[in-house]
Order: sequence, then structure tokens, then C-alpha cells
Amino acid sequence: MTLRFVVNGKDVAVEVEPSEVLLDSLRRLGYRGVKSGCRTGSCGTCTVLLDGRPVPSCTVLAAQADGREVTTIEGLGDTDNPHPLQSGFLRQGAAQCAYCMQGMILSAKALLDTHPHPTDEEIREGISGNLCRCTGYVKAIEAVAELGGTRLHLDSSNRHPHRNPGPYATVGDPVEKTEGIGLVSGRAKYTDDFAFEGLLQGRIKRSPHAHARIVSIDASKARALEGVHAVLTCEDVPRVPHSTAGQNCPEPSPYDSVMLDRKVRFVGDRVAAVAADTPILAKRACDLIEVEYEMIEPVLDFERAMDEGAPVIHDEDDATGILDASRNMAAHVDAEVGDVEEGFAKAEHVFEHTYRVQYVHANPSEPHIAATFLDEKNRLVVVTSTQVPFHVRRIVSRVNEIPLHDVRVVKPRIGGGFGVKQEVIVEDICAALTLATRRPVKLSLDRSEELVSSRTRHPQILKLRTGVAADGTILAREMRVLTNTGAYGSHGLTVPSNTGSKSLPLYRSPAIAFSNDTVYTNLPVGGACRGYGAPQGYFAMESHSDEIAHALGMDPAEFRLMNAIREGDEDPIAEKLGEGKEGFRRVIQTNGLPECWERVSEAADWEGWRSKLEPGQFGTPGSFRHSRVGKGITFAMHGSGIPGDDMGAATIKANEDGSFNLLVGATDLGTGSDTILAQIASEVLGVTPEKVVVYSSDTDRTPFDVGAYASSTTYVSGGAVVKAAEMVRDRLLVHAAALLAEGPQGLTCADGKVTAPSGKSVSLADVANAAMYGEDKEQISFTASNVTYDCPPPFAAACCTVEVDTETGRVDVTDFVCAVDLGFPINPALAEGQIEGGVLMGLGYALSEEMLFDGKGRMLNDNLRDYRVFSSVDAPPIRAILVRTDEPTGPFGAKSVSEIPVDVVAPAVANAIYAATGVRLRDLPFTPEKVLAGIEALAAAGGEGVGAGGRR
Amino acid sequence: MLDLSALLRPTSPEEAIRLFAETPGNGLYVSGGTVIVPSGSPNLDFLVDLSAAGLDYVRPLADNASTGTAGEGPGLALGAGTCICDLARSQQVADLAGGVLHEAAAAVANHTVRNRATLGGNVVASHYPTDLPPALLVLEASILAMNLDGKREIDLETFYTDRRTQHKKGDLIVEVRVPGASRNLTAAFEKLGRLKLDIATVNAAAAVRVEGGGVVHARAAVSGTGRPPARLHDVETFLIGQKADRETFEEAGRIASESVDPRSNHRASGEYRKKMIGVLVRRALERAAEK
Repeated sequence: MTLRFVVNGKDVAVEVEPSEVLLDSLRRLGYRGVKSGCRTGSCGTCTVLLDGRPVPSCTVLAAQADGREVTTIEGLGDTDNPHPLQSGFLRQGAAQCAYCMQGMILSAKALLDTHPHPTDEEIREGISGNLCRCTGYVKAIEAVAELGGTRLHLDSSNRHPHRNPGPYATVGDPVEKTEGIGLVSGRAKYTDDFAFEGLLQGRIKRSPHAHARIVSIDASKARALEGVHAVLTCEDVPRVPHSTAGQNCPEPSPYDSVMLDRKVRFVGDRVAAVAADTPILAKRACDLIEVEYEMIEPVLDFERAMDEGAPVIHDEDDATGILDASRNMAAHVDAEVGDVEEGFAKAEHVFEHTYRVQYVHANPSEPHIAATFLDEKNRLVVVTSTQVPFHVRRIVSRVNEIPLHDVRVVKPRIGGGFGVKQEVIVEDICAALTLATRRPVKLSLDRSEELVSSRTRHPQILKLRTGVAADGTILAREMRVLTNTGAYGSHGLTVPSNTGSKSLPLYRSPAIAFSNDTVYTNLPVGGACRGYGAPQGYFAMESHSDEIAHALGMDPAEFRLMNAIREGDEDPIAEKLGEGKEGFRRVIQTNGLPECWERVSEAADWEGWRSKLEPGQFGTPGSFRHSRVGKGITFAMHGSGIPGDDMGAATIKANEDGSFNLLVGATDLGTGSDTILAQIASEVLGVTPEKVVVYSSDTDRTPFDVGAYASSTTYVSGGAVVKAAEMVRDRLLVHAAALLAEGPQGLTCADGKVTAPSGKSVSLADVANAAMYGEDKEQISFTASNVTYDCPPPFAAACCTVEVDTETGRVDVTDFVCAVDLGFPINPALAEGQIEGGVLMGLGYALSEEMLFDGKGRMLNDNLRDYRVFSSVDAPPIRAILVRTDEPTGPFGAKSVSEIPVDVVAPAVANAIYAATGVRLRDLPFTPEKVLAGIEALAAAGGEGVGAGGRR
Repeated sequence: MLDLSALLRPTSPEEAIRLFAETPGNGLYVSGGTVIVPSGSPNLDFLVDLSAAGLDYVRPLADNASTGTAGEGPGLALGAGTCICDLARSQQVADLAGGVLHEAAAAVANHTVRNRATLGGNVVASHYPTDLPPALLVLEASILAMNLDGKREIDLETFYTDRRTQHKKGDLIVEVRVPGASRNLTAAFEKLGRLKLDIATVNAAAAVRVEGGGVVHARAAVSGTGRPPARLHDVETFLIGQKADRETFEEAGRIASESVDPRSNHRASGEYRKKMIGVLVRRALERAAEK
């Protein structure tokens, strides 16, 4: 049928299929700012204005737009003529990966069209259909408020002023992201935005069973379908055991995966792959593949996985690196310093508690997607939404048995990663489809596949035991963990290692013991997920800290401060507990924890609130009859990169006009690392950031970098940029000295020129021009690598305020303050964005997110209607505070900031719920039902909290 | 993903039912598409799109036959194709019975979905608890259904209790009618989910008329029990003649809780829902009485 409508003021006519949705028609017409996110109308990345109203275009049948007017982000403004919302979003630092922002800006525009001066609530409501996973909505709301002249409820007085806190020219400035307006006008190219001639659509046929052997596969009907170009089963692809984890080689994760296997190990596991002309043909082909399964009893309870006689999940004979496949044990970790038993014996009190954390998903706005094709030399090119392009190249080459030099991996813009894209789960098989068909193939996961079949945060059971002296001094601590890695062991050793290594050093203790067993189950696969094991560890440890403090009758802050690690202390466990192996000695050189706490305490009015409580009282009255208000706190430390493991490299070359190309392997997945690295280079080179043209993550063209993980990019890759920039600068100074007829000593490079001690100066452009065209011609270009062994921890303190509805158990977070000692903030606006977004992700972990399964291992809530992440109306005001410490080992004093905000959230919420009600919850997430059960149990036991009555 | 052989776009309800009857295969009516399109139902052959069928309106109910006694003012006729956002924005809706329908409409999904989802879809969707039905039930709304045999008005409660006979394949819901009698009531809507923006774990609405401190008329309804949205007659019967005070409403909540037997699913256990229905009904009653 013919669809005639008006798009961005232009009359358009296009033939559409009856089932086609407006999202696909618009993208087909070239409006690539309309993004595909969930296809259930839940996430809003595909938002367009239909007759002026924002609607999810994925649920609008194309034909329904007939005769109507559609506005896409492209119709709002462009680089040359941006809409004030576009420039406002960019200026405020609201756009991180920006995959959701195109839609959000359109919603905001529709709001301002009808409500030119919206209230805070109206702004939140107006963008409520646009889920953002990177930010805490804070800066987007501020951008809209700025245009609407809105007074926000958020008290911004405690927020970091957006002025340069340091002595530097550009480092420390909240400069706008290097991508510019293109990022918020539909111009930035994500993987799905690349067009290829003769493109085929890939699709994976997935297992409906949790544990089964494939007896036979008959793909003949699928292959016979017209428009189907390849059907791959385990018969058709190389069988190369590998780990899908994007880690340094050899990976510390077991080699327990093959591209396609004769056995399926979870509902959603790969069975076969198809390439066809259209998505619907690919789906039909998958449905036509006939598979005969021999069912095996699944292992769904991870506490029973190691039981005698439990079904063996990895019974294949070619897997390597599995600790004990016969007992479903993927990995084990053990580390002890001091003698914990001796410590417990000496202790006045010994506390022991068990905590449980659930399956959650990083859920980036853009699901996994890759496009592969053969270039003019028949080399395989992989365009992919990945955090680890160089690991992708290695793994794709290995599992497809083609030489590494015949593979090129290109990372375009990425719609968020958060760890789940530190994994090779679409590229290998997409490449196999291209190799089979010799045609370009695109393979993207739909939202259900993303949730079920990509990677998750590992569920764990954590037992903590702490011995303290009478005054509260910790004498011994033990953390025993059981980790569920699901069907495959990706990151199954290193994530739980970090559960211990990131959290345990926070408090001094003469004796510390850590152990972990990682087991397989027939459930979705664990992987990297922002925080990498630490959020699990911190939930347990910081809940436990609170429990101890309350039992001792101490202020929870005082107990923490007296035991916390200090500047100059040696991390007690770093050497024993490294990245799945022994680590490196670590001495704390900067520690802003006391200042973090001081600022948080003041901003959250911790003392004032506590002074309102009678001894033993829980909660203060809330905004309605049955509500109680409480505040809870958390401290945390994290790391900056993987010591001795992470390597980042940067190449800088000088151009004759005094500009530079910065080529980095580092992978900007929306965090703004391209901008940060440009700022670092420009600072060293004495130019403004726009003189540094960044190109990142292309295995043919940029130097190596491990990728974006482990909070490493600013610290590790930034260090490489400093080194490369210094080498380029020093070489420029040699040329400048000749031009100035002065010695190279004492020359400085700043403000776009080289200045001699005598005061004589020459512009950098003249120097660069002379280097390229003058007497001693050369291309000034240097590559530097950076590896560190320090891993300086950022520190954080947080205070969460909750209002608990004691009749329903629903918890409303009304305020969240988080201060992070991040060393030096290279870009304060982007750093705040990391904190705000990390906190919001943590709130989902604490309160609403949980992957749920039925008795056969099928996920019950594999969509964004049922898997609830925080929307703009659910998000509290999040107040990010940046604490500066100037880490001597970091570039311009920087440490990391991206993961630590997630660590602090769940325990702060748990502690706040306790403070409000007296109910101690040790089992995430805190659903209303669980909270209410806690309140009722307390009442039944005649407890001291809300249930006791009379204390209101 | 849907794999349709036809999408039909009638310009009147009459044409819609005719096209539905004439088209071979398995079909459904679609309006906003927020449920059907993402369902990707593989068994659908065709859809009849109602968005151009002229079912988008909010107006006073002209025919007083179904509006109760005279002098109450007209009821409202709500076109089944009216989007939830327009219901939430309508002053006529906000002015009715303390704005209960406005509250329920504003609680549906999120801003962009409300711009697409329609009243008719929200009333007939049955695979998760939608927000409008309890509000419509306490207002004693009815629906106007249409098929090749003509139009008929079905009381909404009857529609839910006896859906199989009341709603046959090809029947089109063209309008929801709220009687003028509801202008003598005040009513409130309550919803509970994990988050504010969430599918309801349970939701409830209550309507009362209080005269001289006593309850003379009461309606209560819930959704989210794993069964169709339902009126709570035990609660209503109890309330008549009682003082409109906290004790009464607490007792009404207890009766509400006892009168339901909700199912468990991944959102909550039946036991929790049972308790929450008591809380929400009581809260709705309290707020309704305060209006």
C-alpha cells in the first residue's frame, strides 16, 4: 500500500507492507535519527512527533501515518542550525550515548510547544516515555528547564560549579562533547545507520529448552525458502572452543563456548543462524528449521549446582579452563591475609549475615548489533557496537579460522554498553554468515534476545563474617561467595574476584579472607556489568557495616570512618587477589573519602535528620499517613583499570595548521572518552580541544587498546595520550627552537604558540608548517602505550533518602547524594553525568530490576514493560558531588569515576529502608512485597521498628 | 513481528465491521497499536485499523435514556478511539465524579504511549491489568458495541463477567458511556506498582456519595487479580448506611481483601495482591470521600 504523508515539512510517498511500522519506514527513507530500541513502545528511542505529539513509532503501523505530519529529530535542527534544545542538551552534558536523546529531545519539544514554562513534574512527565540508561535524567531535565525558565526542586547548591577547578587551560573544563550537534540531531552514525548494498538480515534460531542435546537438525525447508541465503548449524561452522569474554589473551575465563553446538544450555542459547533478504524472511526461515531435542534435566537452582549427581552442563570433551566440569564448577577463588580465625577468636563481637543478589541486565538503549561485509580485498570488515574492538578482531578471527590480518573491526557510535558489550556474542556468527554468503549481513538482537541471550550481572549469595573489638575496630573479616555464571563461564572467575578485591580493602582489618565458587546453571549467562562484581560485594559489605554499627549502637558513619582505609595505607589484599590471579601491591596515595563524607553529610542533612530521632526510633514521618522517611549511607572505593593488564595506546600526528589527529584504540561507548582524551591531548599541546580531531577504535587505523572496561579509559588510555602528546610536543619544540633561533630549553607550548623564556614566540601553526614543508621535513607522529600497576581507587560516599509506604511496602527514593573522589575531573560535566547515571542504574538494581524465570528456565519478563528500569518520573533528584584529590599517578591527577557510583546505591537504599522502618533486607531487589513482608515480620516479632507501633 | 497479509483502513465504524466480516483469515481491530503491534502475534492475518473511523471524541451523552434520572446533567460519550492522553487532558473528564477517570488515564503507561493507546484498547486488553476499567466500573459505565446485526449497549460489569457471550469475534466497541448519575458521586483511583511508571500490580477505584455524614451510595472495583476487572459488591453493600469515617473505610478495605482471590504471577503473589486490594480500596474510599 502507498503511504502518503508529510515528513519534516516534505511530502513523501512510499510503498509500505501491511505489517510495517512507522519506525522502519522512516529509517528506510533515511531518517536515521529514529532509533530502534525495544519495539514494544516501552523505551522511546524511536519517538517521533505525529501531528505534533510524541509517539513511539515502533507501535505505529506505517499506514496509520497516512495523511499525517511526522517530525523526526532531523526536522528540528542540524549542525548548521540547531534547535535550542539540541544545543542545550549538548551544553548541559545531557547526551551520553545519545541513542535515546533524539527521541527525548522531540518529547521535550512537544512539551515546550504546549507548556512553554513547564514545572519540574511536567518536564519529568513529558519525557517519561524516553528511557535513558546512561544518565540520571538530571542534565536533560536541566536543559529543558533552562529553556522553560523552570524552577527545579533539585537543590543545585551542592553540585559542582561548572568552572575549571584546576590550574589547566582545558583540562577541568566542562567542554561540550567532540561529536557536537551531530550527536543530538540524528547525524551520529551507530551500527544500524550504515547502509550496505545487498545487505542481508541475520537471525539466530534460539533454544526453547534450558538443557537439551540436539539429536538432529533439518534445515532443508528453511534453505529452500526463496530469499534465504544461508542457514548455518553446528555442521556448517568451525568448532573452536573459546570464551566470549572480551578480555586480554589468554582470557582468564574458560573456553567453554563454540559458535554453534550440539547441545543447548539455556533457554535462548544458539541453535542455528540464518541470513535472508528481509527480517521477516529470516524469521520464517528460523521457524522452518526442524530440531529434534533430547531433553536433559536442567540445573536452575545455583545452590544445588555442585550437588552429587546434578546434571553436568559442560560434558563436552574439548572445553578447557573449567575448574571441575563434572561438578558444574566454573571457577574458584581463594585469598587470605592474616589469620581470620585468630581475629575472630580475639573479637568482642562476631557478626555474620548472608546476602543475596539477583540477575539483572545492563540493558543499553541500543541492543547488540553488528554488520559484516567483505571489502574489495575480501577482507572481513566488522562494524559493531562493542566496547572491545581489538578483542573482537582476535576472537572473530580465531573462531572463524581466518587470519587476524584479514579482519578489520570498526566501532562506530555506540548506544551504551555498561559491560554487556565487553563480549563477543553477535560478531562471530554475523561474520560466519558473511563468509558463507559473501554478502554484507546485519545481525541485531531484539530486546528479548538482548535480555535473555546476551550477558547479565552475576547473581550471588554472599556470606559475611566480621569480628570487631569492643570499640568497633574491625579485627577480622571473611567474605564467602557463591556465584552463578549461568550456562557459560564468561567473566566467571574475574567478576567474583572483583567482588572481593574491590570491596574488602575499604576497611582496615588485620585479617581478611575471601573465597568464591562459581557454578554453572542452565540460565542466562553472567558477564561484565558496570561495577564488575563490586556492586554485589558492596551491597553485602555495606549492609553488613550498617548492621554492625547499629548492633554496637554506633553512628553508621562513625563506624565506617574509624575503620576506613587511609592515605598511605597499603591495600591489604591487592597482592593476593588480582584479576583471577595474583595481583600487584597497591598503596593508597590519594584518599578523598573523608571529604566525600563531609560533603554528603552536609548536603543530605545527615546530622540534622538523625537529631530528630529518639534513641531506638526508626524513621521520621513522611508525606502521608502511613509513610516513614529514612536515610542510609554507604562508602565505597573502586579501581582505575586492571593493574599490569590493561594497555592503552594513542597515536598523535601533527598537521601543518597546528591541528592534530588523535588516534586511539580506546572505545567511547557514550561516556565521552573521545572528548576527555581530546582535552588531555590539547592540554599538553597547548591548543584548544577542537584542534584535536579524534578517531577511535578501528583496528586497521588506530593503535591497540584493551577497550572500555574496568574504569580504565581516562586513567590508562589517558596516560597514553599524555605520553604521545608530550613526544609530539617535544618534537615540535625542536622545530620551534630552529624557527626562534633559540635553544629548545625552556620553550613552552600554550595558547596555540611556542614561547621562549626571552618572550619570543611563534605560532604552533607556523611550527607545524615548517616541520612539514621546511628544511627538515618530517611527519611528526608518535605512538605511546600505557600500562600501570597502581590502580588508584576513587572513593565515594553516598546518602539515600527513602520514603517507605508501610502499608504497601513501596519504597520511593526522594533524594540521592553521591560524592566521588575522582582525583581530578578532566571534564566535570561528563564526570557528573557518570555519577548520575551510575546512581540511577544502581537504583534499578536496588528496587525494580530482576530477571525472573519460570520452572523451566524461561525468562518471564523479557521485555521493558515487565523488566522495569527507572524512568524520568521514577528518578529522584540525584546530586553528584566531585571531590578533587590530584592522584599523582593519573593523567592530570585523574582517577576513575564510571563504575563506583553503582557500588554505593543498593546498600544505601537497604540502609535507608532500615533507618525508616527497622526492617533489614538482605535480598535484592526490594520489591514492595518483600518490604511489606519485612515490616509484617518485624511486627509479628514485636520488633522495634514500624511494626511496634507507638513510635510514629 | 507481525506478518500480516492485509491492513484495512475504514473511515466509519460501519465500514470497519463490514471489512472485518469480509476479510478472510484471523483478524483483529487495531487502534493505537501499543499492544497488538508489539505482540508480533504470528497468527494474525489482518488488522482493521480504526484510527480513521471517527471514534475519537469526548462529548456530552445526548441520549438521556441511559443516564439515570433527569436533573443530573448529561453523562459522557467517549469514543473508543480516543487516546488516553486526550482523556487525561479533557476538562469534561476531569470534572466528572471528582476526576477519577482523569486519575486513571494519567496513570496509564507513559506520556508517549498515552498519545497512542486508546480507551477502547484499554478496556478490552486483558493480558495485564490496565488502569481505566476500575474507574469506569465505579462510574457504572457501559459500552456501545456494534456488529452486522446492529448496535447494543452492554453494561461494563456484564461485559467483564460474561465476556465470551458479550464480545464475539468481529464485534466492535465504538463508545464508552458514563452515565450522568456519576455526577452525583466523588470517586478516586489508586494504583500500585514497583515504580510509579509501571504496569499495575493491582489497582482500584471507589466512588461514594455521602449525605449527612453517611454513605448513601458506594461503588468499588479492582483490577490486577489475574481475573477480569470486577466490582466489589460486598464492599458496596457494607458501606451503605455507614458513617463516612476512617473505621468504616478500614472495614471496607478488610471486606475488599476478603472478597477477592487474586492469582500469583511474576509481579506479585496472590496473597500480597489480596492485602493490597484492601489497602487501595480503603485509600480510594478515603480520597473519594474527601473530594
